Amino acid sequence: MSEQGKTHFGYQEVDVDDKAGLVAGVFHSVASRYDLMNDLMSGGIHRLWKRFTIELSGVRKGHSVLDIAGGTGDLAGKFADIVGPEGCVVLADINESMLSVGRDKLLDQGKVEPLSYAQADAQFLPFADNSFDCITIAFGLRNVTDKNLALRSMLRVLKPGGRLLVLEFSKPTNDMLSKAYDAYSFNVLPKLGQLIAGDSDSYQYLAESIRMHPDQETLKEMMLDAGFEQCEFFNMTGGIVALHRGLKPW
Amino acid sequence: MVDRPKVDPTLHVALLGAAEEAINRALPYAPQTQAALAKLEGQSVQIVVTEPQFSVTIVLGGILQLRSVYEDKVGASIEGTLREYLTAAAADDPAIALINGNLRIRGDSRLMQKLQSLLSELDIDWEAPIAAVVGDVAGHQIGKTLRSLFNWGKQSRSSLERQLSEFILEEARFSPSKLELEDFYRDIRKLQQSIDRAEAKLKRLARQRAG
Repeated sequence: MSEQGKTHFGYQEVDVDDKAGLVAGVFHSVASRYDLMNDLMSGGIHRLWKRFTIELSGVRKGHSVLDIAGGTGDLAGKFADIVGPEGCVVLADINESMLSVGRDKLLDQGKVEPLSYAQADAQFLPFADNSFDCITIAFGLRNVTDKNLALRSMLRVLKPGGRLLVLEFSKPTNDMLSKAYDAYSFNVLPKLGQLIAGDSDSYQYLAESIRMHPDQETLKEMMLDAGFEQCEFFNMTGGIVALHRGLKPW
Repeated sequence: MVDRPKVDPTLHVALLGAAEEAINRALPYAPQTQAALAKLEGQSVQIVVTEPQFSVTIVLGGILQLRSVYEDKVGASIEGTLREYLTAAAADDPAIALINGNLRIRGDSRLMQKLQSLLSELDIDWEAPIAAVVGDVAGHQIGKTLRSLFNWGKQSRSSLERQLSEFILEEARFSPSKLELEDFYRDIRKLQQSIDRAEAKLKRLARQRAG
């Protein structure tokens, strides 16, 4: 946050109270074509980033998992297969449109048993302390108004020894890649957004919000400050995306 | 302890994801192998290549999982350079090569041997997947051709190796034959002995002259 009562919405500075509503507008607008856009924007690579996230989650049969900002249910669906009927997977999203698209998609895939759904704000998670073995938040943290508050809230609902995995756009480690990536994000991405989802502004916001998101080391520090331990990050695709992982102390 | 991926995780996961997809599509067409693998459900084998650096953990079951990262204890692990793996794979009896070769096996070696024998008995029924696409009649014909090609491939490998070695020795003469080499070594031994005798003789003469 740049000053008291203000936060950023992409490159714009807005009142803290307004950000959630503005972000909600973006996702209401893109929800129905979110999956298609993700595939087009990343060339399908987002599936690989998510697959790696699942490998590092260490989730097993019987575990309870919370997928925050779970959007269209990619991770939650995979976790449901892993934990089985004796486990529990909660798909949470602050945005009603995204949540209902995700729920419909998982139902269409015949996935019912260990899944439940919650419209919830990552900053104020409506779950009891020490509830989950693993929490994931994929491409969601950058849209949260107060990230520190959200991290502390996640720590609270994790079981001791439980893992938080944050998959998020980050800072490319190579200058050349960084320039190519900037050109792509600000020139190609909004046009793709206009073409597929009929909304270039929302994708302009996505590109801007990625640049405003803390880089690898800063996010790691934020996780440590929130009380996580053994924090580490894994750069993927040259740092365009990073997976951060931290454990709740025993 | 995290086994950190040596290559960019995106690439690593892409390779393993593609391989996993291909294997799991093929497995139902080798029902005996799939049933045997299902009995090993939950056991895991780690394959580590040290040069170039690459690793994969195979979580066994009716559906195989190939993981780039696996933080639980594995049932067995095998480690070696790519060259050592290729040597073992090309051996006449890969099972013996696996035990006696340079590959380092840790953990439950019986599990590793069991997997190895499952792989060598792998017999894919090509007909079923092809028939699903082109129909029974064409599927049967194409499947039969593929099966014979596949088996011919197995049989012809040893014959090809023999023919290649004959070509190198007899036709192209890139390398001397075993007999020629033995003659050459015998000549060298004779020469060595003659030199030794001459040296001894010279020393004796030198001593006589001094005396």
